[in-house]
Amino acid sequence: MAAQNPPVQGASSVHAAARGAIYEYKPLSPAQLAWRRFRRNRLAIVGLIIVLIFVFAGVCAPLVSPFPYDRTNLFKTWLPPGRDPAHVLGTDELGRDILSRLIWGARVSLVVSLAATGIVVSLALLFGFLSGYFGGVWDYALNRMFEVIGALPGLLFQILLMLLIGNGVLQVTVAISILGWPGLARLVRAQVLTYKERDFVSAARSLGATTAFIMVRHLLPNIINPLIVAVSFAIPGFIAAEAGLSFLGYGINDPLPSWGKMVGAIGRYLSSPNYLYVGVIPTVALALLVLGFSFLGDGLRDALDPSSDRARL
Amino acid sequence: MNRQETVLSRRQMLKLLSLGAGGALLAACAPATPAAPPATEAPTAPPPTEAPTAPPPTEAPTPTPEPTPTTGPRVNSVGKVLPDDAAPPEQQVYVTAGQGNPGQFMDISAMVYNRGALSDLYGVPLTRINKDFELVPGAAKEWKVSEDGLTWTFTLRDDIMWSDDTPLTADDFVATFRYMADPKSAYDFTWYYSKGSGNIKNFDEVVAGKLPVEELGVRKGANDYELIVETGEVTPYLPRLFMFAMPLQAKALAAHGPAYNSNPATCVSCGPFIVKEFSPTRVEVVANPKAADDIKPFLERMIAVPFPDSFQAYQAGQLDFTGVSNAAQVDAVLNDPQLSAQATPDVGDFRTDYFFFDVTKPPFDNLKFRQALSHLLDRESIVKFITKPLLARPAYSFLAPGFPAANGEALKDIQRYDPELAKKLYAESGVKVDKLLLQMRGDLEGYFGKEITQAYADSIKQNLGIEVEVKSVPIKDYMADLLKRTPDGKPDTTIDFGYISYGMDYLDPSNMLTVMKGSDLGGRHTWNNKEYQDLLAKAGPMTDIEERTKLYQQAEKLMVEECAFIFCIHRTPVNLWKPYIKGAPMEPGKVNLNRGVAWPGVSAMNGAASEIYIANNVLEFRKSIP
Amino acid sequence: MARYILGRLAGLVFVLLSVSFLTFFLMYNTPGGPFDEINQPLSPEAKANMMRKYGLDQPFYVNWWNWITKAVQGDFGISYYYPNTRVIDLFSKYWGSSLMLGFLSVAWSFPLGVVLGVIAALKRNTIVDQIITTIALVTVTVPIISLIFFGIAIFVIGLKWFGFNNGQPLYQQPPNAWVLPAFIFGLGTVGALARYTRSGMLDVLGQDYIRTARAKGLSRAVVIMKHAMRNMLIPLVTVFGPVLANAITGSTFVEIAFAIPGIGRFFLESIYTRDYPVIIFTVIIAATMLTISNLLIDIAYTLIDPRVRLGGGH
Repeated sequence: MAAQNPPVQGASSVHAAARGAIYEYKPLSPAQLAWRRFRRNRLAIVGLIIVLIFVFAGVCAPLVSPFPYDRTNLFKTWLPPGRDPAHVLGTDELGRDILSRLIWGARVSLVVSLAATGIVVSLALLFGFLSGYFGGVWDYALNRMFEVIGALPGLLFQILLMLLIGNGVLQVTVAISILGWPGLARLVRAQVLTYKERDFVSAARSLGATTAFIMVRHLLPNIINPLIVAVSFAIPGFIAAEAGLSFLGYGINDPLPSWGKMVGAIGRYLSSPNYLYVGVIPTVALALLVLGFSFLGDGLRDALDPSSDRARL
Repeated sequence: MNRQETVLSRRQMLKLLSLGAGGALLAACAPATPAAPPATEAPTAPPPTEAPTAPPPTEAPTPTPEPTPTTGPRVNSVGKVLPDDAAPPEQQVYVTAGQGNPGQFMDISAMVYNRGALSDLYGVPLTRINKDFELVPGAAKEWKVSEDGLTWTFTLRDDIMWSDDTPLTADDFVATFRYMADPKSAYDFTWYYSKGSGNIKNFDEVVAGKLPVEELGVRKGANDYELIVETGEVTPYLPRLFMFAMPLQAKALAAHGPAYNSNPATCVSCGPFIVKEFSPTRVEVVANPKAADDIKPFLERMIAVPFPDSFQAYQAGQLDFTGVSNAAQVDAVLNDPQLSAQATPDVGDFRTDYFFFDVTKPPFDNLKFRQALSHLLDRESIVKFITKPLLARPAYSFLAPGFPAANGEALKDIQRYDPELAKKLYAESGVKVDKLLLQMRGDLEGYFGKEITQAYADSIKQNLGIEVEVKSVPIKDYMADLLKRTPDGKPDTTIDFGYISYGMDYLDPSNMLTVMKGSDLGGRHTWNNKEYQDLLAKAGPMTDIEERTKLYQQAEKLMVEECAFIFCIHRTPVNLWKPYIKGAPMEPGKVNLNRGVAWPGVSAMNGAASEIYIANNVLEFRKSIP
Repeated sequence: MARYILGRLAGLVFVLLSVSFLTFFLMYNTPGGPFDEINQPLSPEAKANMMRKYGLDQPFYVNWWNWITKAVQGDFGISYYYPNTRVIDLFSKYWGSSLMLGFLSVAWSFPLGVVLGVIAALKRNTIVDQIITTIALVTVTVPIISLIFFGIAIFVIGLKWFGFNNGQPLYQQPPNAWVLPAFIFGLGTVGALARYTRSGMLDVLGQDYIRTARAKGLSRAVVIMKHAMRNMLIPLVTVFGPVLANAITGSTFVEIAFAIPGIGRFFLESIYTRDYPVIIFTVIIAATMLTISNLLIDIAYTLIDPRVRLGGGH
């Protein structure tokens, strides 16, 4: 339950972000400026590289993995890394190539977390706008919904849900995203609330601009940056959530690998240090990818919202 | 015993997850119910059924209590003379972590699958088994059956007293059976006594609420110590079933309900122990001073605490017994001379893990296709590399070596590993599939299920080009799915290719083989083979053991040939016993060739609870008593 | 404000009703029930007896309503799996370990996080700041299962400094059993706290009144202690809510990995045995904690930025 409460992160970056973007005036385009700032952040570049490597591995999994992820070889079980040149990272309890499973695991992690992000952002934008802009009944109903979802204990509820809908990539995605959107929706709502009181929006409204126009032209651009930042922090949360569920056995089915599952499967062999590497490898990969996204997110925030330097969360 | 399956699976799951429980992971899960034939040839099987007219010799109970010596041999607090090499009474403590969780029901007659650690110690069952699985008298000293084979008369011992000084009588057994059949009590083990198994007269009708409990075919005979049991069909193995007929006290049952033993204040026992402390994190029982002399234990206390890492706790000198069921633990045992000396593989409950098909659905309705799949399971390699020979034997049929009517050697060739033949059969079958879903019952993960299913899946993929997705389903969901029936009773399961196991409830081929009887007769699988069903029906009531065995072997052969089931491994769980656990049950026996208490563990049902003791070398090993 | 809080508390009732309803829906519609046979099939009649005995022959909403009416009287029912024990007694057996774990982890991580955050803010843009923020980022983002695995690999298997818990309640154990779990469980909090404190502090330090105070010649220390820290309390409360809720309901992963008999572990067990009364009770307790902490966040949040109106935009 620990690291999955994005509302906290999102909420506090709000006012920081709110202050920024508007009063800045620079001759260079915002994107150019952002990239210039991003480049200066060495950690962010490291993060970007890590993420790109994993994305490449995930996308090209069928091409770059040396073996099929499910190819067993009972004569070559428990090969430690480096023992056999054919298996750079060694083999597991069934003689499967760990590198191949790692690569396919990256694919699973990325697919699940990106899909979950897509779902969450769509829901958050929709409900955040409705609630923040129209207020009234919308706001009341959605607030109640936020409260209910916000009160559901994440992991416990996800497990119950997984039991109901069964294991699988799509199912995990749904289970981890269904509770994830209120945080972002609150962020969107807060942004909308903040800006719809601002003079430039009031002015547009008094000049007869339509709601849709105000939303797209005035509110969305102001929301997009904090949203990108929040999302870059949400992705590692989803990766961790998928790994956690898989670790507990409520993830995807065998033989498709997932890092969480690889860590979970080694648990029973832990009494011998000789088998430790089978768990260490996916754990390191998990930590690396998650950190990569976080560094990237940090860089993005600094780049997209220069004033946030003061409030670097 | 079946209950293990629940317990095992539930703890299993947590263990599997437990990184921390590290080593232990599975340790606590290995059935705590030992018995022990080995990887070598199985010993002669015990007779499948006892001739109803010839009850086994009675252990003549000595009516006069032994005088308690004031000097000379040491006695424990309940007046039992300790063997010469026994540790002093304060060390006569047995600590266990296996066998369920502490803090659940205590009596098999009140609840079976949810009963916890240190159950079955508070009564004397009608009959018992010894360490060689032979039937011996329990609360009933003798029994006879009527000419027509339908009415049994059990004569009870008259020297067994409850701890409240009332005698154990037929009334207690009648109350117990009525409780089990009463719809209100919703007993979870009713199949055991119902038609096709125990065949107790009117049992099913009472369960269904169609007849009052008074109509049940279990009643008091001519006096307090005579119990009459009527069966609806001839059931020669009935006395064997009654090792689970553990009495509840009629008075306590009426006053406090079925859970009276779960509370030290209301606990009443006529067995070797009585409950002293009871909670979900600890159960402690102490020797029952009122028990009959041959039932009184050497042990002073037994303690159950949940050690999630029982393998480690065992090594740390905190536990007296643990199981071994994963590769890392096997390695640890093999590499440690001291542990190796303490390890004993045994037959457990003769459990066989097997694959099955829903033969009503394509492509599994195609015999050739099933045969093709049966030739792709490389059991020898699985045992050699995955389970290690210590923990399993390759299974080519259902009945494990040592089980009555077992015929594995003769059937070995039918489902042998032969990829070339498999390819040929697949081509001939005309079946064309790209993808199969293999669903494993989750608890089998505890016995290498994940590894075995994936090795098999890969073998199918490499030889036939069929992708096999393996899904591990928690036991509750799995069985709910497997046993799902349409309103008109037709099977309605999504599991058309599965991996599951079964272990015996009583040592008779009828018990194991009726598992495959088919859904038409209320069985778990959809293979409804008329010939098989007829063979079972014919063999069940037969008293000619040789002929009966022949029929069962014929039935098993048919089952293997039909390939509705692909048999994978016979488990031989390895258990570790501290060297200081001694007593008759720990001696090598006829079925149990190794050292170690036979199935169902330290219990009143096999007398082991009364017979084991702690030897005086205990302090060399034991570090603490929790 | 008082009216708002009262309104929110009324909202809490609504939330708990909804959460329990949802949970009942999920539990009762999940395949597999608490009394499924696992070996030989029970006859339909025997099965029906069991369902009737526990009221499971009724639809889930009927059971939900029955549960609600009993729950408001403080009766949370009897466990199915431990059929002779009240849920609340079972829960209190397991809660001790979770509470202790949560308390220990908060006890070391909360102050340390705050201190690190303040230091980082004061030494803004120095190497110290960078080290602290990087550590904070790492501890916050690396998934708990990775932290656990590293912890076990290094300290338990490698260095052999610590052992595994032996399954007994944590408060009956020597430090050897709880130091490592409490350390790992607290890591995330350290990071989160450091980040929040740092950003809150920087926010405050940038405010006009602080500059004014400094300009008036007040010493840096006085300004920090008197003005900045007081305003820091608000963001701290917002973090403390979820941290506390998390600590009280326990970290399932830590409990499982270290074999600590706490609530999270017990919940998984109950899921496995389909022990409905335990499942619903655990969910409700956790939901109550979360709702209260969410309420705290919202209140504190509005205090930070008055432009965001209480109770939505009207």
